[in-house]
Amino acid sequence: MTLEKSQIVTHIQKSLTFTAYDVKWVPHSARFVVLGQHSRGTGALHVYELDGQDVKLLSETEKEHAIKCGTFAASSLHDRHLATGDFEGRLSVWDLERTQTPVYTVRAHDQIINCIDGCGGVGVQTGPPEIVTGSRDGTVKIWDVRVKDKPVAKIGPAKGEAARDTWAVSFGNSYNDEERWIAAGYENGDVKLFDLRAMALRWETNLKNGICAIEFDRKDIRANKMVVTTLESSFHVFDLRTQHPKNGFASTVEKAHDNTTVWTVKHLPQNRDIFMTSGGNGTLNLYKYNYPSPRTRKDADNKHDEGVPGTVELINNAKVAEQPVAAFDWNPDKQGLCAFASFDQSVRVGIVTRLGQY
Amino acid sequence: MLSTKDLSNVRQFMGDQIAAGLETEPIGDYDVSHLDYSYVATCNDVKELSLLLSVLRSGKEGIYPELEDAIERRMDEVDPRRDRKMKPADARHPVSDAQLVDEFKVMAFTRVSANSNRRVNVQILRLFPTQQLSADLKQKDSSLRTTPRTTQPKPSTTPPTSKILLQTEELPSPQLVIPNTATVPKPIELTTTKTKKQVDATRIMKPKPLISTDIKPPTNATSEEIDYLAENEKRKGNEAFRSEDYEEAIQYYTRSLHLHPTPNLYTNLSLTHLKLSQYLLSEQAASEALSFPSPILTPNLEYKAYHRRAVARSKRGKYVEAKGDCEMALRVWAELGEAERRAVVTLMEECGRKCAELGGGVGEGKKEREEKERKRILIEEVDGEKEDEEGEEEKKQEKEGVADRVKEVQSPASNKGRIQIMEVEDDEDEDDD
Repeated sequence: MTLEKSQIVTHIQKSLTFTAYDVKWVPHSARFVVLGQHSRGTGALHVYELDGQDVKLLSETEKEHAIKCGTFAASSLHDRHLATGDFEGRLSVWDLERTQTPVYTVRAHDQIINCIDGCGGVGVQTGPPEIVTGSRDGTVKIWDVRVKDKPVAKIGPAKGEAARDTWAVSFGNSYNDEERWIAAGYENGDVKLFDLRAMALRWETNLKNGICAIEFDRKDIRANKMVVTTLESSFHVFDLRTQHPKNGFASTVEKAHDNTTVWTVKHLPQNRDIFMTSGGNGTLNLYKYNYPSPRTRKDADNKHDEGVPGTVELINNAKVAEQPVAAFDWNPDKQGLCAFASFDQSVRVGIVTRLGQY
Repeated sequence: MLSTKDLSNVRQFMGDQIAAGLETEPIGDYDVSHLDYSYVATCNDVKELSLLLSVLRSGKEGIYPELEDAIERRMDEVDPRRDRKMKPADARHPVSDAQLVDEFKVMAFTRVSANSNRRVNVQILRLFPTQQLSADLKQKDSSLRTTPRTTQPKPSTTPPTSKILLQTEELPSPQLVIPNTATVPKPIELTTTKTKKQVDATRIMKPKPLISTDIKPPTNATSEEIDYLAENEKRKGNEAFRSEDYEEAIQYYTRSLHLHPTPNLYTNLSLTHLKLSQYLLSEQAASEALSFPSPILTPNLEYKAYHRRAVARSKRGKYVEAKGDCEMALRVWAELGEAERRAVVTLMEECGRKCAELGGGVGEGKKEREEKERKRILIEEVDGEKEDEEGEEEKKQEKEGVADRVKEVQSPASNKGRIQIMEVEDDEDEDDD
């Protein structure tokens, strides 16, 4: 067993003519998509391809409105359609070969779509392909590309309640055709877990700081754990296996990135216990989660089971930019290959070495 | 999935709830021993069933939502035309109007069915050193784009290795590896807009729904796509194993086996069974691994299979065979590390000692003789091999003092099986003195 740590290496750096808000690898290929906003306010959708020691621009499209986020996760492996949310609240699904007109489009929200996630595509066997969008208008809507104009489900505040910006959404617990959860994070620090099968709120908590990113460690297994990152340089890891009737899920908190925002969290597709967080100070932190030896124990009253939080170990970190790294994505095929974009109008391709030892 | 029927139930519930208030029926005389799955399954008296149901709902005997469901289902079977009263608000959790209006109201529409035809082409990915980083990703990508959208279904959809599974004599099919799925009741569909508190409480107490092992590859899937899905399931199994969720790991490995059996999966499965002390299943999985032909079964895997089978066999008392497996393990892999070699040698020596102790000149351990005796008594009713496993499991549970109900739930399906186990246990007692 090697004793050398994994290293985070920037392989290629490419300057852009626009501000990038999201980066996503096209599944089963050497291409990635960069989404963002030109200085004149229009949207940018660029497709790059790895080419030896450089990246080559394959196609560039300009859209009417700036694009905030995108995902491939709801489309099949053959189609590989990209679902995007833009600043005007429009959800569109694109075929990258023909970006003039979208395959599907709908005015999802009346304000900016802050976050998007997909489930049920790309070789995953369980459940219908769905897209979830979270918007500044405080609602979370679930869409199916096969259903025109209307969301499959909508989750919003009750009448009279103040609407809180939704900043992060994520699918999880999709281990068979019926079960599926959505975790949503809001700007006031609320984290809510919705069960889509029961159509009910399963759990909620408040982490005091706005939630920047949420991710389940894997979408297609029984919910195992979830990482939630917040504004004030901290992130929480929740153990979702055991829910206590009063205390909810057990969690562990970590401080990171030097008092700056923790912008994203992404789990390694090949190992659900390793994840990378990106920070407002331009750094990337690589963590490993260690499970505690009994994962459950009896609570203080000795009546119910409660989870035991594990420990998070920092494997390595690297400063890769001078500006916040706002987007990060692991390549689903090559272990360790990643792409990330920062606010200095550049996108980088990185390699994390020696991940096979964990 | 929320159907229109569920939606109408929701509206109905909301209406009824406010009108009915808290309804409690007086509870008459009942027999506590009737609060049992097997009794319920054979009971024909609707009145008694509804009495038992109200007992359970009142929470006097404890909270058993799955038993409540079993009773309801039985009532439906016995009298399909009965008046289906919506469950009144639980006496345990009185609910007011204000609580019903949760902070987040959910407006639901019907969810589209999950069965969509997927026609997909996937190239299997192989890991290369960094020089070829982009090269093989591009190759994968281009093949995906050039192959036509619809593919002919492959002429032989069963991969060739599955034939081996059918030929081995005594080994059961992979489905038998999970004996528990039959008796665990199906999870309840929550159709009411319960408040958060209610949702939390009832969902926690329900049994966790098991992962389905009936995985079917999508229609028109190529063998590469099946391999990709199988690899994904195996990876999930490995991750579950690492976090010590052994039952879950078994289910993922079994799913992967249904898609594409490989010796590696069987050795992983064998080790997982060892961790759960399921020694017969572990031995069977290891034997399956060894049944693969030589190029697929690498020496490394062969060594693992022999070693694990040796451990499983020694735990079951088959010391002579375990010793034989140890010898094979030491021989098949040239690059066997020092620490592993020593472990195998230690095991082999211990097996040798046990053999000598138990007068194994003829090559029979105590367990072998017991098995033969058991077989003599019970041979007409059930297959001997399976019988042995049940005896083993039951004996262990008896020793650990597990509650009766749990034992019933965990034993493999039929009534017939259970009756035999009683007899075997008697045998064991006789031998022990």
